[in-house]
Amino acid sequence: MGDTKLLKLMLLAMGLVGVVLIVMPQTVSLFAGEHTWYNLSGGGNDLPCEKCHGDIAAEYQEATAHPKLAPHKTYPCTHCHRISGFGENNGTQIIYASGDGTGSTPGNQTHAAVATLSCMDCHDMNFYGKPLNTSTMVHHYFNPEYATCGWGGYPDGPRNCHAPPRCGWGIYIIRAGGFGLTDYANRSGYYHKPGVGWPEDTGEKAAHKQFVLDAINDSLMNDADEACIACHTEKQVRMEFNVSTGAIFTVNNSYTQTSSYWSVSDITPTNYTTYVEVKN
Amino acid sequence: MKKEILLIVFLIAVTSVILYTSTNTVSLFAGQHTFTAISDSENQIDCTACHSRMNSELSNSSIHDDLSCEACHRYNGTGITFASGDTAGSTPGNESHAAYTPRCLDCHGGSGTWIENTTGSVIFAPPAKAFNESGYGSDYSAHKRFVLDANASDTSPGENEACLACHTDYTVSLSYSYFWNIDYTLSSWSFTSFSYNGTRNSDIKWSKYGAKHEFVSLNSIDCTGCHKNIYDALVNGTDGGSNEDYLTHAPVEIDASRWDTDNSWGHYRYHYIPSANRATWVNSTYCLKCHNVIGYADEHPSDNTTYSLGNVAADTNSSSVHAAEALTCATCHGSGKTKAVIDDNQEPGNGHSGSSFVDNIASNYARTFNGDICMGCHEAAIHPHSMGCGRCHSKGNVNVTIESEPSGYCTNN
Repeated sequence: MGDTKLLKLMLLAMGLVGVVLIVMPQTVSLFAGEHTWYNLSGGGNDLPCEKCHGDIAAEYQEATAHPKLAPHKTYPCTHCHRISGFGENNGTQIIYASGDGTGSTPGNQTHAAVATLSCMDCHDMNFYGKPLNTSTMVHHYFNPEYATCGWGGYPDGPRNCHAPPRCGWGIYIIRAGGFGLTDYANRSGYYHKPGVGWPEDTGEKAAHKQFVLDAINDSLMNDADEACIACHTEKQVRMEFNVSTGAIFTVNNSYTQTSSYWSVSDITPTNYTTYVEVKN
Repeated sequence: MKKEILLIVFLIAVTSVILYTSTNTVSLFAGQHTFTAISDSENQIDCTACHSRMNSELSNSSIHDDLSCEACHRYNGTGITFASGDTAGSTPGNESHAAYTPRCLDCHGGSGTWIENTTGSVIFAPPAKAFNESGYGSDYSAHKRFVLDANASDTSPGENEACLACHTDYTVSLSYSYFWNIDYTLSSWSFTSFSYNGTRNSDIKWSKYGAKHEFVSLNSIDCTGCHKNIYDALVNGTDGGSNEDYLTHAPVEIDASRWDTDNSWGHYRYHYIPSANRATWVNSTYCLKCHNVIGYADEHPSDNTTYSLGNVAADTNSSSVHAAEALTCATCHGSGKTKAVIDDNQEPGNGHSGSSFVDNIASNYARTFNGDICMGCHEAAIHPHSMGCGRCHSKGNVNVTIESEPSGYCTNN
């Protein structure tokens, strides 16, 4: 290398080092911004969940049909994932970490959010306001997480359960009835007042009741969520049906010399076949 | 060296793009946070997304192919409250959430009902005759007990097992159990002995496509599918060698060497089918000749005239049954009936015409034995050539053993 080239290279290196020294702090942290802390003292949640969960935030926006009315589209994450005051967790209140106001609350069962919530936590509409073993009212009405409940006005549109098209306090209409799961007798842990519950919810004719009951017994998701999500979201679902294509009828002729009749003493489904359905 | 540098630069670029475009965390299932809007009227959750096979079956169906899933499975005529998010309000379900498994009689019971099809037309679902009535109607309906037992079964809602068996492509297997044979002796047309013996187990499989949502047209319901034992009794029976086959259940065959194809009423024998046609002519239409005279007469006006079926039908109870009448030979051939027994005008003697012989059989012997008692003499294969005509045609002295369907083997001495 000639002297001229070496000189140019040295000048370039010095220039770059000079620029770097000017724009860089004197020491660097592992990640830029890691010392810029969120202020948690405001009411409700002050952390942007979507910073990490952008995929989920995007999914909400994909509900293109009637976007203003698409269920849950305008709800903040915390309505569900910091659920409180709905009789969730089998009636035992979940204590989340919170820095609201001048005090703060360390979390108990969870810190920031519950991942395994249940659709029926909100959609059974059975919570009277007090969790088990306490006299303190913790209805979500008192919770700042739900302070935005109500009609959001244009262009935001309805923001949650109490907004159009379902307004007011009588939102029992969002109850997922018809499976016998909101009946008073079925989830006694939620109730604190005789008569609270929906005895008319028998679910005795529900074609998908066994689907829901099996979902409850399955550990993949909480409660009946597998069933709820299968029908009410755009989640792809692959179903393997095992169905009978025939039945055996056992037919007996009962007779004496003077009288006789035929009867079917047994009907047993048979000739089972398996086929796959994929909901896209 | 230059290539290696380029490769490193390329990998760094690809990694950067991946890091830039990926999210930091993912939910358990993609799409689980995209909820379906249900605020429009009617149903927005696509049943066929999970049940496309049912949709395909219905498309191939002879009836009901113009109905939506909701027309039957969210039928609003039962008092069931389904969940709905329609328009400004919502309705929590009570008895059901999204759908129910209907009883066929929900629409086809009572006086029938009007429902909207997929083109928006309101169509009539007719009542299922007899079975739409309280207690499923007349005891003369041959399948009433089937419906009652289906209703008692918990395999399907209500009576559906019985409906599916006949009206859909659902495969039906039957395991019948009944008597093996009867023996009886007559002296001067009076029973001096009667016994039933043994047990016959007859397994029948009516193989179909197996599709519960493929409904068959009414005229393609095949009686012989379930009653193959009777079909075999009428078509095959027990091979009689040089004689006629032992064909029982109805006098489908005659002694070609001794009997005419015309009968004493002066017309072609009602039950007779030439041997060459037995395999095909023994079908649902043939069954209806006896088991639903009104139905047969309606579809065969020429026979209606020839055989005075209007009068014959009045002797039967076919107007009050669903598909088939449980009957005996006496239903048409008893005393005072249009086709009461008359003598063979080519043979001497009075036989049992003008007597209460047939009425006695119907009154004092179980219905299940009635036909075989008659067939003990009227089965062509046992028409004795060498024992003298008068034994049957005038004296009424016989000793019969006859097997039940499908073998029908018989001796008459």
